[in-house]
Amino acid sequence: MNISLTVAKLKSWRQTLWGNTLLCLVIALVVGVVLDFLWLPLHPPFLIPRVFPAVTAPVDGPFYLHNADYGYSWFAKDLPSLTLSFWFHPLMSWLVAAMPYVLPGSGWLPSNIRFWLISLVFAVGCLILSYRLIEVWGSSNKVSVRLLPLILFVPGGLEIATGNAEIPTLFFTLGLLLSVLRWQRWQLTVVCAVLAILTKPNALYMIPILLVYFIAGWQDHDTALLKQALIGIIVLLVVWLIWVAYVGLRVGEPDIYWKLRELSSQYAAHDWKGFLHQLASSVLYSDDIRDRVRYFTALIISVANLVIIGLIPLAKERDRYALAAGNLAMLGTALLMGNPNKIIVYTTTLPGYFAMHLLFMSRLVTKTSISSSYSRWAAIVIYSAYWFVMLIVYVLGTPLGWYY
Amino acid sequence: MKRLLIVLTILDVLTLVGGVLGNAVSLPPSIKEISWPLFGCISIAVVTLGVITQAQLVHAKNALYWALVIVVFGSLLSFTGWAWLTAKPATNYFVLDATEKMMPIFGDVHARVVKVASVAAGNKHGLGLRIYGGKVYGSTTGSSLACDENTEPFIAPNFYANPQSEIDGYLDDVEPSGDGSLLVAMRRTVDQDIAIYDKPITLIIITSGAYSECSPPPPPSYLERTVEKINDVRMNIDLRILIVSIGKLDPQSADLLDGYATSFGGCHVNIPTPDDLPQVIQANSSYCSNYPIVRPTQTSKP
Repeated sequence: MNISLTVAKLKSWRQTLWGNTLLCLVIALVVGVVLDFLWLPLHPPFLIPRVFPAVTAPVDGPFYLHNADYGYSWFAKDLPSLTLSFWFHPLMSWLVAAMPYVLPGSGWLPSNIRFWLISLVFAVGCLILSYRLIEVWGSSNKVSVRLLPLILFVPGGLEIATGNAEIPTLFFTLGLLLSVLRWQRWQLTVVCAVLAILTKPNALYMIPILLVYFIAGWQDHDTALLKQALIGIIVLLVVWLIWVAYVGLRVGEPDIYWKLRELSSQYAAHDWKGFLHQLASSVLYSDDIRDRVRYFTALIISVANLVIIGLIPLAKERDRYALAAGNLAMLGTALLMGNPNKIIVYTTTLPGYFAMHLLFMSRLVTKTSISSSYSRWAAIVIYSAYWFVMLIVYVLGTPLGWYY
Repeated sequence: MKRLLIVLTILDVLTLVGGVLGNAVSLPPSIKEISWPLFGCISIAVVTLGVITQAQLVHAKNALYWALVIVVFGSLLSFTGWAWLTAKPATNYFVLDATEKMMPIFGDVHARVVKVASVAAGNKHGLGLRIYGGKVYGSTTGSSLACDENTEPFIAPNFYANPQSEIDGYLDDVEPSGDGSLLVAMRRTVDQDIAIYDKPITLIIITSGAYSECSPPPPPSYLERTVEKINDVRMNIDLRILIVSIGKLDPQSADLLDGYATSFGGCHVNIPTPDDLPQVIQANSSYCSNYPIVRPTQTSKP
């Protein structure tokens, strides 16, 4: 009797959003352990600080930790030290430093574990909000919550298992988008925009997304939408500029933020022409697998996103254009700066990214959604191959430095 | 709808005519360089709009979105095709420290540089060589020169049939000795060897871990002028700079080389022995693209 009750309870949990979110988290923790063993003996062909366990703060995670443990390098004079500090926006470092005061007893945890735990909490929030976004898009009846754990395996989805600043950014951009579209409370729009831009500059990809909603609001005479989108854009820009000015003032060089940002272009391919020439040279005149992966994934992910955005069922076309605008902003930035680095994880900061994959998966598994069964199977095979290749890029590319 | 179709057809014809005339008209170099992929993109955009208008798809829910995707994809394809056809292989230009301080490792460095040249030859890369310090067998100059004059080009940057034997043959005649200036060698390379070169160059400066300047060192204005020259060269070609120091570095040398790397917009990598030289050079885009973040830093409180 008890066993059958427990099974029934579990079955009913599998039908709920929270149940599937928790299942996703459990799978993420197991995957995290496997990744730790896999990543231990691997390292990129350059020196970069690493932490143990590796999943707690891979890639640029240690730099956030450095800022959390030692503060920003306000008084550094050399460009490398300034870069290591100011390339990274402050919110995650503040949260890591503040956690022992907010959660008594957590002070004994090393900063990388705190960083990872904070990311996991945001990941839970992202899963819930991504599903809420599908509801707002008017497509929730088409998506089973049981598909939610599969988000882990979409390109870049394994970030959910690691400590990083992208998933917290996604949480705030999702909050910002939902506030603009559904809740429409200016206080919430302001808070989400402030926190998003203080987490990562990637939040700026929200500006073209919100511009689309601003235009849609203007065309449809939807004043509330127009107002919220405008508030979001203004707050993102103003807070970003305040941070830029603050860094300049504290360091004593007003343009230091821009100078450091330029480095990411200078040490990559400089501009869009360089980007495409590097892409071609990586195949024609080089054996460097890292360069091939970096430049090709940047283009493939952006183009694949555009195709998926076109194929998902959405009640309003404005949502499709908003998603595409964010994606094009990401692609445009990479091309203009000649910098292909980290697109596989940056794409997860776009607020509809997980939601669009869920909708697309749902469309593929629903027999009636695609008229020809041949087309449906062809789409499943191509989509699975895309997942598989990007999974390899992420799993091996994170410790080997293939995408950054 | 009919009017839109007429406008699009006229646009299509104009684009076609424009594409043909594009070569005859004098366009700014930056536009001329990309004129045909640009023409490709405009054509794709116009044809796409023409098709969706003709097929009366403009009112179909998704048609305009797919038109956008086709235009983006078509533009990427056109420009990637252009990059494929215009990409040129890089030339590895070695600036080799042949001063007295290199004596214990010069033979190993020589062997590793030949190995790198051999791999690069397989990837159709060009080659160039300059040394500073050192004495060439049979030459009356070399170590008799003043420290800041002691540098000469050996192999002009170009594409050679057998680059490994070229570089091997030249380095066989070099005996490390005397002093020399890395900065002066760098300036001469930029002024004399690569200023008129029109292909991408990777400048690989290989030096000992010891302090790499003459005494007294060149004045700060000399460095500033060198940086200006490098920036001028960068206006015309893709120039990447990798400084590799071998052996344990004292803080003064490390600061000096880091400073040069940062000023030149390149990167500095220190390796313990010449054995790592091929790996560092072959993975130089990895090192350089991550230069601002590759320094080891503490991640937890002591």
